[in-house]
Amino acid sequence: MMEASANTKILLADDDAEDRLIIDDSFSEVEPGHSISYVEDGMAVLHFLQEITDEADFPDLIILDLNMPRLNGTETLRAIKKIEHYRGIPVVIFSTSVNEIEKQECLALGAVNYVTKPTSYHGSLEIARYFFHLAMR
Amino acid sequence: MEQFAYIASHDLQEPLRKIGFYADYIKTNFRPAFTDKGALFFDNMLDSAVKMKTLITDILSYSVIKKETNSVKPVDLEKIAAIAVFDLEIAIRTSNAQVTFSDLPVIDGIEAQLIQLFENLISNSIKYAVDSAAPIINISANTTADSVHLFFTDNGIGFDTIYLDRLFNLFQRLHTKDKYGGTGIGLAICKKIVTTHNGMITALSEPGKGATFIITLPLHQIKE
Repeated sequence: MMEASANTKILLADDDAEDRLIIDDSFSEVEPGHSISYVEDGMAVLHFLQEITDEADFPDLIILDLNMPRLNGTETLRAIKKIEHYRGIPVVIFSTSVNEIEKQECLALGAVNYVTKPTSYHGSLEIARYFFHLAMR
Repeated sequence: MEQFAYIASHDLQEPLRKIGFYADYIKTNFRPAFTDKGALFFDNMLDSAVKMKTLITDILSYSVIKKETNSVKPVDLEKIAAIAVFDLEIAIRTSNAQVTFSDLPVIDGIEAQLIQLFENLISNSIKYAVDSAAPIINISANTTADSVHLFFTDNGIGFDTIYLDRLFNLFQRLHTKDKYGGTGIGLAICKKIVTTHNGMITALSEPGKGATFIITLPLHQIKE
């Protein structure tokens, strides 16, 4: 099995602190020692990216919740894909909602996948592994 | 009502999902500390959370189906059938089901809804299979000048058609929850999708002799 290199960089945006705690716990169980960056909404994602001066420091994966204040997941995805510099960064949607229409919309906007938030501890570990896998592609 | 159902079911999922996570975490990491009765009750609690989650998901799916004239475009039903089979790969493989389809036309429709329609009908046939045989599901079409009749035929347990008028009602079930799980929303979703597409759905069946769901859809949707 491929292991995430120590500098695999993941940025996750979610306004729900408990969800950040849950996925962070799974990230640390699956790949201990990795530092994941967390922000609370889409606006903060764009600010985060703007602060990066060297493209080599861009995240390997951006994970977006859908329902967030200020700039929601779909709006953030659209903004990222509009900016030439950021377009190549893989974005995955991470939402509670299981809505085929929302899913198709996000895929059409360029999301690599639409992942439903886990309802179990084992599901959360699987998803954390999958996110590392996406970040390493 | 539909907006309420959407918001309620979306917001209800948040805490329920977390209950599921924490319960599974506790079960995995602290199971040896439970007595037998404690373990049984804990598993029952987890099952109830899963059932509630399924119910909320189904209500949400039902509530979001609406007429979206802007999303109507030519949809190749052969492609829809292929996507549905792909999405249901695990259930199909687990049940050893055979799903075949051929000569399905292109019609005007909302792609995501038609995928859901096909998936619900295929899932329904897999769920109500007879114990003695793997599900065999065939999807065929009879296309006329302005409409298509789609036939979803299976070799499952079937049902008595005296219940036909109730079959597509919300929360209607013809079998006990213990034998066949589910929320009684799947076929109501099918009816709502078909109605949204200005079509009709009905079924032919006899107990023990499989069922055929017949869907009539216009080839073209008139712009409103």
